[in-house]
Amino acid sequence: MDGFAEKLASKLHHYSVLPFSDVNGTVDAVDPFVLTNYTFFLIIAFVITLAFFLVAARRVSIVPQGIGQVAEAGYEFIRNLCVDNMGKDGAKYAPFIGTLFFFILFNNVIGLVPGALPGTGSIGVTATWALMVFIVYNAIGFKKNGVIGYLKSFVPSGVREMGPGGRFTLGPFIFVLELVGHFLRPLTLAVRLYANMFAGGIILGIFGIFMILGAQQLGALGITMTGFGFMMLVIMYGFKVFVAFIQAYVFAILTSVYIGGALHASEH
Amino acid sequence: MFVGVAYAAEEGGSSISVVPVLADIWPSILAFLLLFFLLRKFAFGPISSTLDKRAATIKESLEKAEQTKVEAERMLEEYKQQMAEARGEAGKVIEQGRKVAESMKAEIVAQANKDAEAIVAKAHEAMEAEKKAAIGELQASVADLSVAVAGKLIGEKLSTADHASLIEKYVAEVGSLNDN
Amino acid sequence: MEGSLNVLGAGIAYGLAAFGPGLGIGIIGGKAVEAMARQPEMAGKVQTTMFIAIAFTEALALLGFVLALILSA
Repeated sequence: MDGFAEKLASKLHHYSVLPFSDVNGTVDAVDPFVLTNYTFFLIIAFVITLAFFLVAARRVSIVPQGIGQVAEAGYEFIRNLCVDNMGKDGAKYAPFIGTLFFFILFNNVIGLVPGALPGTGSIGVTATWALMVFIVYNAIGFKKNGVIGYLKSFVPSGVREMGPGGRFTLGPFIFVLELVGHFLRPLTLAVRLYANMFAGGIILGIFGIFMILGAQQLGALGITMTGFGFMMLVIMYGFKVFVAFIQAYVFAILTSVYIGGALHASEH
Repeated sequence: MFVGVAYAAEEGGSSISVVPVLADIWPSILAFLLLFFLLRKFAFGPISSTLDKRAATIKESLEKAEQTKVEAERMLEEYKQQMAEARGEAGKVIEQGRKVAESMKAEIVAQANKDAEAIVAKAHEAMEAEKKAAIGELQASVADLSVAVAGKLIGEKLSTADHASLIEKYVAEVGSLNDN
Repeated sequence: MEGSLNVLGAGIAYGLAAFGPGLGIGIIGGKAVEAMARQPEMAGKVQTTMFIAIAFTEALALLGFVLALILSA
């Protein structure tokens, strides 16, 4: 098992945020305006997403054809998700949810390419988007229900209709709890996506290291380790493909649920 | 082992951190916003309008098809009804014709019968009258003739009384002939 | 020695933080499958609700994950 720790450390080094020009260097702090290894792949994903949709949008017509069909099906899926979770006027927010979903999806899929990194594997990227979602859905909530109305909706109507005793003891308690819950939303959104994409790479790395170490050893132990490593690598790669899609979907569906909750806050 | 990993990572100068790096933050927000506006204008907008248009087109053609179908069904129903009506009418006409023909036939036959009877009756009557006239004539002429013959035969030998009784006897004989 | 204790703490923290949500998500998933099998026409709604419930439950595990990273950093 010699060298496992060093190899894992180098894997962790590979997955940490580094300047793109100096990925093998030992940099403690990354300058704020430097291209990092994650933003490099983020920009690649940006270009691919944009190119895909610009090309697909030209093929979109009344009669379905080619790549346009894929884009259409994807957009319709997102629109249905919005309408399901936000009600009839949810289609208005479909471009926002759609951009989130497809950008995250393309980022995740790029992370499947060996050697590449998913842009969403950096907490900086996911936290930015999660914070943006937080701001957007709260802005929608304030705009739709008014400041007082939206804050009021944090306390369930059952508590609001209680006698003064229940209202003044339970009300603030639930309000604070609900507030904490709201602030946890962007945190969990960010960490869920980041952890899934980041951990996927690390796990693949670990089984890759297993294979390499097994190949360096002789005899039955080496063959077993290599075989086990390869098998797990294939299984985990399949799992990673699944996770790439499901995490984009979860991010989109949770965003739409949050926006839907803000839209209909005063109804319950 | 994992302790060693952590140490190795620290020695490498890059441990995994949950603290976001500013260099990742601004490109991600810029990229997202740029992508959002570009996609909304050039991709999602057209796709959305196309989807709506397609839905409208499909709905319209379905509605039209439904309308056409209803219309066709209605027409078929109408035709069927008309056909049935026509058939009924024709049957009625034929029936009526037959009835008229039959009644005409009966009438004609009855008329013919009646005519025939009338002719026969008239003929009878005429015959009867002729016969009567003939008999009457015959009676008269026979009486005269017989008187003349008798007078010629027996001359004046017969008295008036004999004469009369003779004639009467004779007439009775001829009358019995008439009875047969 | 302090660093190694931090890492040990991080491992234990994440292990414990993953334990409860792991059970919870298992229960949510199982119940969701049950509900969908019973009423397939409600599958879409059940799925959405399931994702929301999983998101709430998973939040605890994610907090544990963050804690572990902070501890081991």
